[in-house]
Amino acid sequence: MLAGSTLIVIIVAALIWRSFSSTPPTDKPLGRNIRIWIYGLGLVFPMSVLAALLIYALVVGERLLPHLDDEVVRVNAIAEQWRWQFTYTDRPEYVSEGVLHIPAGRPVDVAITTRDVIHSFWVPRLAGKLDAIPGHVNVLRIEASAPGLYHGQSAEFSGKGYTGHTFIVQAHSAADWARFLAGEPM
Amino acid sequence: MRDLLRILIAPLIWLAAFSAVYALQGFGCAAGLNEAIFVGMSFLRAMLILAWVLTIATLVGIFYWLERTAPRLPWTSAISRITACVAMVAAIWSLFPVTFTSICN
Amino acid sequence: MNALKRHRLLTRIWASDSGWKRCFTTVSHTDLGRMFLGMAFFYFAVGGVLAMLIRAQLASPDAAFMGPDIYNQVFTMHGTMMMFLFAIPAFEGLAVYLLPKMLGARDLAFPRLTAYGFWCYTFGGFMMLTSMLVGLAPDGGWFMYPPLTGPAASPGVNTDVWLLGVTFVEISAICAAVELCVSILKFRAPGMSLDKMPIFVWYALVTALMILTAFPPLILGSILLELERAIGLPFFDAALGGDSLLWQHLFWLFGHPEVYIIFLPAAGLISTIIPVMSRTSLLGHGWVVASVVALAFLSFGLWVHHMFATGIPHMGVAFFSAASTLVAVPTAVQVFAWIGTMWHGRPQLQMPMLYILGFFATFVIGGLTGVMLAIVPFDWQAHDTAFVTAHLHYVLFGGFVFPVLAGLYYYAPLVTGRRRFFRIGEYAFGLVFIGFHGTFFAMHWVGLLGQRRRIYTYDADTGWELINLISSIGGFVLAIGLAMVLLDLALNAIVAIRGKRNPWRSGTLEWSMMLPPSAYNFASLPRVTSREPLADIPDLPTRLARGEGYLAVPRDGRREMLTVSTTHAHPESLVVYPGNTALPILMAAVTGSFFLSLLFKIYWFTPFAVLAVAALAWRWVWGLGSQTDEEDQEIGFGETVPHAMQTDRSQGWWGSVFLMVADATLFGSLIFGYAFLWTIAPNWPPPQWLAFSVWEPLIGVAGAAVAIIAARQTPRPMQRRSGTTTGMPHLLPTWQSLLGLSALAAAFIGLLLRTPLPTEHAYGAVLCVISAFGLFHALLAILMLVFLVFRIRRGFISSRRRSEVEIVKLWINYAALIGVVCLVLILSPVLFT
Repeated sequence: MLAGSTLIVIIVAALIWRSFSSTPPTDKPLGRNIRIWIYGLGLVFPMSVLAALLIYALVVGERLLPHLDDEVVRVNAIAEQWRWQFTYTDRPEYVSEGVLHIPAGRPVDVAITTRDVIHSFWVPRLAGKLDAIPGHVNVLRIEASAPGLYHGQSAEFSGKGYTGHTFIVQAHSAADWARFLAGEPM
Repeated sequence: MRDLLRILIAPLIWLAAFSAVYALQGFGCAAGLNEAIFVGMSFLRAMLILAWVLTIATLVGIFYWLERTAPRLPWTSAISRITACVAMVAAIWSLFPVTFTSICN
Repeated sequence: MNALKRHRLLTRIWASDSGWKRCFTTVSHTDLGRMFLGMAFFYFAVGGVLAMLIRAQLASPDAAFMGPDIYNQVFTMHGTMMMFLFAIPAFEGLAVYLLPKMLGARDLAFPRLTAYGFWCYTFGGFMMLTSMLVGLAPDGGWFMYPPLTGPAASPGVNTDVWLLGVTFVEISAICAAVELCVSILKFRAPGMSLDKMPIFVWYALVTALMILTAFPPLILGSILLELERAIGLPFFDAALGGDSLLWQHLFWLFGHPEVYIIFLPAAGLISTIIPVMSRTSLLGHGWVVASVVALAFLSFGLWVHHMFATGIPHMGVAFFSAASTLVAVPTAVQVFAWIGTMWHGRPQLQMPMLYILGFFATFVIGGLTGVMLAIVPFDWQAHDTAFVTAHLHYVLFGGFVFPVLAGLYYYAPLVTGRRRFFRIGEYAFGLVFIGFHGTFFAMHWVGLLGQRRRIYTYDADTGWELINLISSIGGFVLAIGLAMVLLDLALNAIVAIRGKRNPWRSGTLEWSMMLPPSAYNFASLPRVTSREPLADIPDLPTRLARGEGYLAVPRDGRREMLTVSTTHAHPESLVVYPGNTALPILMAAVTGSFFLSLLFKIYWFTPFAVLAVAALAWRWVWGLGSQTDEEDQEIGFGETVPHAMQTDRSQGWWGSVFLMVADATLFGSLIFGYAFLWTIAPNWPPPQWLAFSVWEPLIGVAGAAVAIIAARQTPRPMQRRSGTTTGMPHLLPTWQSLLGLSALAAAFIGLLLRTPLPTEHAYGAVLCVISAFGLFHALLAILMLVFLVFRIRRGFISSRRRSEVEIVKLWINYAALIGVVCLVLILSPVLFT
């Protein structure tokens, strides 16, 4: 995408540059100019590029949706000014604050909501962002390929404490995850 | 004024249809129409596709009407022809996701 | 009569007051256009200072320059000022100043309304500026998302300043839009048919229509949020059946078209300047007009792309993603039409052209990053990072500020009548260009590294330090460059080297007048036969000054102008403008007292402010018209036209139609909100439905029917064709209309009193607003009817002087129609519950 954009910028720049040294106006027929500039460069060129990009994006977007899967682990993220709480379907009584525990190598559905204003759940290395909206529950599918710590943050302005409104995702190996669910000290 | 309306009519219909299809999708999901099945696909998708086809058909009709009747200024017909084409392309392009994307999630 | 005598006579008629009174009583579009532009650039400077504060804070990690309290106010006000107090008013100023000159007219359609809009803008702007100086500025971001801006999370007055201040300022946008539409369609030089209008006029027309349809959703959202904050109607409170997503829909329904409202006038300047600077005409003129129309419509189908991260179903995302990619196509058509024009002609690198090259470099990059953001998987990553900040500055600075600077250099000789002497401009351009790209190119990069928008500081180990420093240095270079631009323009305006007429050798009418322009623009109105009249008749200015056009003879000390038919621009009627008056500033001040009473919660005063506005409005319209019939007037070329007040479709009628377009859009947004809350919001159904009663629909619908039927027969009784009709038209149908409208109003009062629990559930709250909307329109029509009765009694109305009757009829029909729809909306769902 970046390379394509750069190429387009260079082409447009070259066209403008050339226009300053082009031949006098009289010998160029107007009809041909309209065919080149309007039909060719104005219509056909952007429409073909955009159609390709759009279809690619929609197909990828469709694949990223949280589809049914037996392996999937379900957790809940509850935001408020300015902290994050996480609860776990597989360990109902437990609440963690500021740290979200997930198993590595398995898809996780995070059900996101909020107690006060709008926030946004974003772990850049695991998935795109999804908003926490009062009265709604949004489900985001994330998956950590390897155990470790992943940095997460709110990405929706929420007032004074917005800058420090962050959390951590801790991805566990299968064995550690089993111990976590059993409530053993980590 | 009539000439101006000839230029605006087709995109206006696109905008109305675009909003209507988006509303239909929202209400359909809220009313649970996505669960009902109709000839192998969800009832809601069938309705959305129908709405899409109707939109395109209406715009084609408008295009022919514009071509068959004469504006007050000859210049207007060149402009209204382009805007009518824009509306048709926009209808096909912006609503084609009704055919395959997930409707309610 | 020779040219000099005509000039003296016309100047005496058209001149603004002299001395200190001038700026308070002027209604001249030339004065007001300059005042609009001056004020807009004042706020551009204030917004620029705020931007410098932001860059100073972010220049180094862990900066202690500002805390989050102040920082949040600073970035909120930066965005708000640039959008509402700079960009839109700058367009209004440009259009107010230029359009009558381009159209071959002596002024806009409603000169006093221009002044009223200016003063609303000025007072509203000062309201927000003052709040910033006392540290109570809005701090919820320029998008003001509730619940952060709701009564619970933001109890202070800060949010109210935004909601009331912006709404106050938007009155000026709506006024300007109505005025521009009527002026463009009816106040052109005879012969300037739609196809012969200058290209900028097309851009201005489309922009004005967009303002009429894009601003009402924001105004509605502001009203609803202020109602929630002031009296607890829970539209956005999820616990009580409201939904904060409703605000996002209303806000972006305005917010995305807004981007194109800002871009289109600037593009209009480019389409005007490039052909002149390239010694040719615009390539694919019709294609450009069509793509402007297409852009306007497509831009209304994009609003949800600001909400991709809110959990909208994939199909909804897909619709808006598709429309967002498509909007790039008409933009591309314009860009390549401009480059093609340059190829076709012989471009010259003068000052305006330099800024246009700056525009190309910046805007094309901004457009491409925009396409990237329209691709949903990318947007999920880049949303709310500095990448988006960079993108929007490339689009807005590139797409608006660069072209407007080009426009300022292009039109400076017209405004001042002088030519450039100091050559600071070229260096200033260099600084602006380098400074801008230094600031914002770096910002793309730091955004991709994950720096969020709106954070007030960051840690030292993030790896963003150097990039932010580069960005801040770039920002200060940009500021110095812009200061030099202003210095250059000011110096060259002051130094007296008289320029020659039409220095760029343009072909359009604004250059066929005296420089600087006289108070009356054209000594006689041109008869237009092509798109570039001045190119066909090089001595057109002299001929017009000699009186070889329409309305060459000043009559009775009146400010005269013609209206024309919309399509072909045949002369239709003669308009007499009102003279200089302080009424607009007074009216704006009283309107301001209404907003201040809400801001300071002095609610007992609010009804008095409303009454004062109504009284002044009465005074406003009362001053027009005549108590005797007038014969058709000679206008030159052997043609005669009737006086506008003796026609069915006066400029007031047209203005009403366009105002109704805005009003109906607001109503449509309200219906959307009602349906949205009903289907999407959590915590429905409400604890209690409205109980059905036959009385309100019966009385209301019957009242509406009586009002409409009676209005159809409202006074056209005397069909005498003599010039001095004195008989009083009989009043019976007027009283029947009044009775009908009163019944309609009574039905809404009944509904308001019966609405269940408005502060406990959004259902009751919405019902209240719909009833109040219907009631307001009924009362407005009643006020107009009473006015009409008084006008008839005082002899202002006759069978020939009928234009006011037609206007009141229009409003009666509209109020009755709105009333019936309101009743259906309130009562029909109750039948199914």
